[in-house]
Amino acid sequence: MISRLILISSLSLLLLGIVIVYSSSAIVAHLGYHDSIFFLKRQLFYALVGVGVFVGAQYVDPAYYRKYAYYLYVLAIALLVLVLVPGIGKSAGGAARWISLGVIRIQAGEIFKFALVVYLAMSLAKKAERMTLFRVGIVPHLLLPGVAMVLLLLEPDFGTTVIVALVTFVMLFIGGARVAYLLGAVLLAIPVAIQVISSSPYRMARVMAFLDPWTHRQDSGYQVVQSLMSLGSGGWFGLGLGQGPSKLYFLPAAHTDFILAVIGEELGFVGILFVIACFACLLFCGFWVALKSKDNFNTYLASGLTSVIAIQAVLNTFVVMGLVPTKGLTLPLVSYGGSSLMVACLMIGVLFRLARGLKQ
Amino acid sequence: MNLKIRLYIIVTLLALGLGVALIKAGFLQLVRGSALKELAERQYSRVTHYSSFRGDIVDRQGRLLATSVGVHSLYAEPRRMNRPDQVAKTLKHAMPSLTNAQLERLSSDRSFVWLARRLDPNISRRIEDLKLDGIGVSQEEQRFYPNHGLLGQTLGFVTIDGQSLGGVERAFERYLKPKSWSALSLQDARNRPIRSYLAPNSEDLWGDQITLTIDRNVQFVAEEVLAQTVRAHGAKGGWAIVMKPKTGEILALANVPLINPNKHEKNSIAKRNNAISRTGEPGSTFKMVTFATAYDLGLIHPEEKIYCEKGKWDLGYMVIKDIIAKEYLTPEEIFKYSSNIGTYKIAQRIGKDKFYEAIKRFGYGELPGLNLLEEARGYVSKPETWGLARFANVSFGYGIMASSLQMALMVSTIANGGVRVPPKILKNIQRANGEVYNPLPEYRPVRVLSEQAAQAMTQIMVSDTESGTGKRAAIAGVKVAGKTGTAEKLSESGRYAKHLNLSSFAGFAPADNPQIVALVTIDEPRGVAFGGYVAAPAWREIVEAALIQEGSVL
Repeated sequence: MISRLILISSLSLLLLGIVIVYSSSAIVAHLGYHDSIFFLKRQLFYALVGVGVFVGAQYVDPAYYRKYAYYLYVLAIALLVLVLVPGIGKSAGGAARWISLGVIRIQAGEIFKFALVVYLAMSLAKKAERMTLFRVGIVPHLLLPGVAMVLLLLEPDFGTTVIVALVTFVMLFIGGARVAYLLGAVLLAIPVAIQVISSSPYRMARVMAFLDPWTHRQDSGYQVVQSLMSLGSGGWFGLGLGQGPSKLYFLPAAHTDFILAVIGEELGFVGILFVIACFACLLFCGFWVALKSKDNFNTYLASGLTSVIAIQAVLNTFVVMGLVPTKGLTLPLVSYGGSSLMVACLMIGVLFRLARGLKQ
Repeated sequence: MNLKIRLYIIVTLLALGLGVALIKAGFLQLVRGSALKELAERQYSRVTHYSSFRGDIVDRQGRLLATSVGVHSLYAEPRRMNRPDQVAKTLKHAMPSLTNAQLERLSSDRSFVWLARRLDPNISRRIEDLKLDGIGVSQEEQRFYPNHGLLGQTLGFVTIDGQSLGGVERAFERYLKPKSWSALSLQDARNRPIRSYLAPNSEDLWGDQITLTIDRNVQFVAEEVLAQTVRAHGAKGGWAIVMKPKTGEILALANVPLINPNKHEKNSIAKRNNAISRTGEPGSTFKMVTFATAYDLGLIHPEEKIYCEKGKWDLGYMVIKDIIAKEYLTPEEIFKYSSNIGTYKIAQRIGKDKFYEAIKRFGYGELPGLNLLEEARGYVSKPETWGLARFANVSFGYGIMASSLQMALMVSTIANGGVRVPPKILKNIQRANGEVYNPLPEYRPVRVLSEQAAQAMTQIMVSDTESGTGKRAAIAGVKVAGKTGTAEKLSESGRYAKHLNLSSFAGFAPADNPQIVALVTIDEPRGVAFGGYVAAPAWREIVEAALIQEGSVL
């Protein structure tokens, strides 16, 4: 039952994503590449690979992740370093986030998210009762992700950094770390965060735009204002699939980070409700799996993977609705993007494997 | 805190996050939705202005009198230009007639400037092919009058900016001019059009077609004859009205010298539509009112002889003179020889008040009802204010102000058996979809005279053309009824000047079944100025043509 719900809701998001990617990219693709299905073709291909990854994950015993967690983590960190090496890392929009492997480009940050969850799940399960100790429960689990966060900030990929930070805290909390220590770490992180934000003009601008998007609607607040207008145009039932004008260069990143705005515009509040319901379903199912798992590692793995997806979904919707500053995050399973989609499929695949494991 | 509780806390927090997003979405979409949508639409939508065209003006047979054509005009959007100097160079090459002053507009800080208007289509195409950034060619309307000066004063004209000035163009502007169409279209953020809403049908871009009662051929003959007459007599100008008495339809409204509405910048003095707008003292033609009223009231007998004072009547308060001095004249002879003395004697029998009423019944002092703005009302003072001399003067056509149209209307009333049918120039209006309508109120005919009085008037008017002053108006084979007029104009000094005359002839034909009413006035002919000599021959020629065209008599 639970596994079926996971399958239905994630497949729904995946299929909806393909439709909306096409709707929101067709004209831009036609004008930019003389091929209106340029993005659709690629998204379909990623989805197929994603399904392959999902199926593949069914044949991997979760215990293997535990066994190879360190290797995976080191590999992921290595990729993060590689991204920063000129000639290997490919940049887009001023940020170097991709590793180019010929035709395939891998976004290192996406892989790292999976590696992080696996590593933390393994580590938390191993430390178990000793998690309450600062030395054991906090220090290593903040240091190792901390290294990754620094690397991510160097790309720079602020969005993934935030996800990594939040997931780390969530998993440490679930793993039994003392709340006082966690709060202390948060207090320590605040000045660092302020420093990180204020040191970068574009992040500052995003914060300013977030605080008052309408006065900055011509420049830094442009994207948020466009997003709000797109959403508002949708009303209850939307303008109809393909009917929204916002993707016609008005709304930047319409088929990627702001795809939810297009959903809201074309399918209305009902469309948003559907998307959020699917994520809520994934969230509850994922934590149900975590709760019911007999093995601590499985509990942490399930709750961690679910948290990554849920946190990213919440942050993306918050960005689209102007509740938090823009930071460059995709909507898992829905937004256009190969690495993001495949890693999401992998996570859902593992979750599904864990859910199926409950029955036996 | 055990694991279970920690999991519950996290799942609750994340679910809360999704809940907050949902609430915010609801707020944005359902509460603020319409306001946000309006803002969004404002940036997607552009208003496109379509060039629309005035409707045609055609004559009663559908022959074109005025039409609109699309012409190309060259404009620039200087703010969108990066290198105005280069653009100027390219433009100059493509269109050498561009002056430096015109090209300098490219460097201005304006968002829109006209460079040249009404281009040769070849040049505009050449410039369009250059595809210069910030240079565009747009279509504008140009009004065109295919018959040049024909009916010029009556048609009026339209300026380069679409302003109608005068005539039918102005008076029926609201039917001729289409709604200006600006349709909403959708544009992307790079200003490319996507789709337009409410794009007008081609028929929406055309104004209604106005059909006039004018007959182009009659109009043409009237103008030709007038021009010849004016030339032959060295006159200042002339005008003529031709109408159908039964329907009041104006067939021709000619004014010489002609103006060409295609070149309306010139000819500013000649723009006046004298036939309907000029008022003056009508002179002896007006005696028709006196006679008709006397007949109507049964105050004169055809056989009686009226003493005409041997051509000079000293009343003490004034002296009235006749050109043809006689002792006794029948009423018919008084009319024929245009005796002022006899006419006043008849007027005295009517009395001031009844005479005034009759004048008003004929339509003097009122707008005739063509609905053109240039129409004059004229002026008739109240009988209470008339002194003895004024009464005498009015009886033979002085001391009141009337337009030629009002006099033509008087003749038409007599021709029509005493029934006044208001004149009209608008036949009907046709929408682009074919629907025909007439927005003007239908005036009801008014009986002014008894049938018998009209008959008696016709008779004395026939004798005028058979043996009186109007002999030159006679048409072979057709009985013509008419009256000559030779009105002295007031000179600039305010006195009547013997050498400044308005020579006129007014009448209808055929007398026994009137088809055509016409009035011809020649302004300040040199030499012999009698209406019977100057205007009657012109009248004959015009009426002959009108009868051939419309009366189906000859």
